Amino acid sequence: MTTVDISSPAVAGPVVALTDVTKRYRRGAIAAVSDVDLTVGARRIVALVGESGSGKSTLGRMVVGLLDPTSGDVRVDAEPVVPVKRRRRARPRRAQMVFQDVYGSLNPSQDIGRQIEEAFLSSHPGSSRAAARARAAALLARVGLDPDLYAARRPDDLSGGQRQRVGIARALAGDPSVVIADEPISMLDVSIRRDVLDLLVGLRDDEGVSVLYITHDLLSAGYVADDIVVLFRGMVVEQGPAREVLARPRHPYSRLLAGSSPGLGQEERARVFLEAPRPRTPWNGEGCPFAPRCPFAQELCRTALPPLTVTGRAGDAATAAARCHRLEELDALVATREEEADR
Amino acid sequence: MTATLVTVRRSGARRRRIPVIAIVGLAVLAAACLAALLAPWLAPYPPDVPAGAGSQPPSLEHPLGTTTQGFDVLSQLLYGARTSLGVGLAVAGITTVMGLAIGVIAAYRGGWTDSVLSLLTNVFLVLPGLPLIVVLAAFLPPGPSTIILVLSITGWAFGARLFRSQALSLRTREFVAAAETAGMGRLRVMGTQIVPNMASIIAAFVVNQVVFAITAEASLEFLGLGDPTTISWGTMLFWAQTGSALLLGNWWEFVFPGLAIALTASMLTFVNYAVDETSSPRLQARELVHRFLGTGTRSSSLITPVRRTDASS
Amino acid sequence: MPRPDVSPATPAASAEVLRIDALEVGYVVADGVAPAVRGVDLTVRSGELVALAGESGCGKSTIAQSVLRILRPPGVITGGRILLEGEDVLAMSPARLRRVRWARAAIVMQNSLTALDPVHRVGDQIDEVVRAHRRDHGGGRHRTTGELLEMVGIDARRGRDYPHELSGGMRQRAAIAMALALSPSLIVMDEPTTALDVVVQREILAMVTALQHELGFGVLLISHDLPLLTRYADRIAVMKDGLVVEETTPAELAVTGGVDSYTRRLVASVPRPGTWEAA
Repeated sequence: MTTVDISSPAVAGPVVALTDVTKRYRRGAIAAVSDVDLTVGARRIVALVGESGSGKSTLGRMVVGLLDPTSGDVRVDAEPVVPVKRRRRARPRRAQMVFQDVYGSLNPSQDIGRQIEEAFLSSHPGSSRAAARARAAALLARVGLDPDLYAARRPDDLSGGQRQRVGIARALAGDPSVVIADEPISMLDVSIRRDVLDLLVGLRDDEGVSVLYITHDLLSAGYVADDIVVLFRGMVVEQGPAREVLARPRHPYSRLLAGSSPGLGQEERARVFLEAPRPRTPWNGEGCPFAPRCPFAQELCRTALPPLTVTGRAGDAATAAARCHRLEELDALVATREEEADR
Repeated sequence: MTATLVTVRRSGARRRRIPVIAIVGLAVLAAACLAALLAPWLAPYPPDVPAGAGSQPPSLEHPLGTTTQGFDVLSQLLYGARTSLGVGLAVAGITTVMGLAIGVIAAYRGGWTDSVLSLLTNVFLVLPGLPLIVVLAAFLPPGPSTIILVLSITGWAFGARLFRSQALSLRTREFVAAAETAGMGRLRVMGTQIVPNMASIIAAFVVNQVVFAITAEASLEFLGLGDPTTISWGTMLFWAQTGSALLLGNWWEFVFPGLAIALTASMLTFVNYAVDETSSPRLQARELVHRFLGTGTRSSSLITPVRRTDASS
Repeated sequence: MPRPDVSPATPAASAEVLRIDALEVGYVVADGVAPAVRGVDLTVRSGELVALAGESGCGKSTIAQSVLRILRPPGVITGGRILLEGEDVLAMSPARLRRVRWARAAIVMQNSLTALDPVHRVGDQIDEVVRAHRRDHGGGRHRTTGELLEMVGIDARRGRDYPHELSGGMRQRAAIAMALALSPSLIVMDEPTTALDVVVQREILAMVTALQHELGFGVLLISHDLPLLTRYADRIAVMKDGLVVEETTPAELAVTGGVDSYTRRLVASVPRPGTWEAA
């Protein structure tokens, strides 16, 4: 009988460590991800927030090994990630994934109990079918689905929310150190989203599993995450403890994102950015990626990429930082612009 | 194969009905296979020993008549079914398995494996089928085994290409990535994630192959490229030809084997049609609406029909 | 600086653009008709943005598609009236319906990639719509494709692009431009921003409301995103199991949090800053 070990993690140090990771396509012409450093500590939930095209899904897929980085280092539990293409049975995969597409991420022609069993057997080679079945039943119960009622059902018979619970159960079957949740609730009905999010939080609290929560929705990120990392055009533009990033976003894009999220109360503070016109021409690759849309962009911003400047205390799991040349003066600039507008 | 044709009862009101023609087709086919298996007990006479006077039209003694050489046609038909159906099923089985293996592996592995296997497939696809069949059959020792071999060699490539393209589209689905992320072995992924989701296309292919094989086998034997001493529907036609049955007016010598082939092919096609029907929800939806509105209504699927269910219609 | 996305509604003499009366719609199944919409009343006035909110299966998309009778088989309309500027869509002949479609009422679907033809340039597709109208109605001045694109915030030169060359947000804007081509009095939008990011969602809805104030068309917006609707809708009708359980305004909703229990559940299901303590 397998028991879930919730004692201190076997590995000291971060569960996920991405160092200087870059992903390029089309012979280097397009950079989906550029020089990203990212860590997820033990028993932490980190939210990776960004719009589509920001590279967040790309990063998530690199952590589980579905994509190879063009350059840089990707480690889980201090071990380099083995790409899925070259997977080996003897090496259990410690990073598992919950997918966005609830309708496509379960095998339509297999019972869901069986699918969880298969996931268990894949990561515990040599286990008996009986052990797999027991574990699958336990996992189904864990995610709130009565195994007697659900194990024999096909995905077709389940609602979106139920399917996603199965997805979480399947991810847990591999005894992961970290679960990458790639937009897990975007395709679900509003009234069940919170339940699924609560399940993810439970992974950290009850199973001691870390979660990398990938989303475009700042609100849900604030609901589950300990730390937030904001991604724009493949680069980290801001990171920090969730509460801080939401209460006082520093980077212009973070402010824009917060201002666009209804219910955060950030609209006034972000007004200048919300009303800035959308650029007609795409970014040429030089300097700050946000410069074309930034009402405060200067010549320096257009020529030199700003470095990630630490703004918070060192020692936190995600040291607060932001990538902007004019970070210090931004509040003052915004205030001045507001005054001008009101006149 | 049964999975796609059996009535599926799920929670809620979703139930798929098997079209009548599918039931008819399956029933007739099942009867034919049964008759073939039980030939030694069902046949009134041995098929290879003259059982009566030659060129007898159908009578009580010989329900389907006798050939010019005096063989009982009914007995020959029953024993011949064993060869014809046997060859048909064998070829269908071999080409399906070969096509599946090569197509799915090529699609899943990709890279060099795919390039090599696709090249192989394309070479065999490009080879002219009929001339190759004829040439091979002419040079190899005659008999049903040769025919099975020849038809399999020339028939697998079509399936390989078909299954490869289907497997390619399945390969990119998220549930396959999910299984791989969980660490599932390659063979297991192909066997549990990809192939089971190709069920209806495999079923349709098998059915098509049986039709193809039966008619091809009959054609080969009719051309004299089979072993004339074996008994099959095709050799029956061959002997009818050489014995000038047409000139003599012995219609029963070629009509019955011909009918047997045509009937088998038709029944298989019915089954195939049913497989298509049950796997196309859009066709079903249109059908449902037409039935609901009643005959005689010209309805375009571009305009939602209005049919009031209250009294003031 | 003027803020076009925050202005009070001007009720005055606003005409009724859409009136749905006791609408009943169902789906034909093997043994009868499964009801999807079970008697819904709804009105949209010119210049108004009325939202139909609810979760999957409640019938809101069914209503959206029924307005122009583009609901696919096995959908069947079984009762009620849909009055488009006073004329019952359900009583129209096919010919009349085809003329009314796009000219009087247009629709913007969720997945613009399927709404736009992938093998034709975006500008050409809009031209096509305008030309077809001219054939049917003759005369009258219509906006050019370039003007339409600029109106929705797309550089007119991008009319030469194919749909896949535009981002999701731009494609949706193009779809809106196409809907505006014949100056309809009603535009139905079926989850137009659901697949898009928060920032883009906001921009597009702000643009739509701005255009509404300028051109005066009414909008029936289908969505499940309650926070977004409270920001942009004039009225919100909450649907569940084929019925409207509550009709309210954003202002009322902010005060009451919903009268019907289902509405309250929807409102409560949005994670809010105050509830972060749970994380």
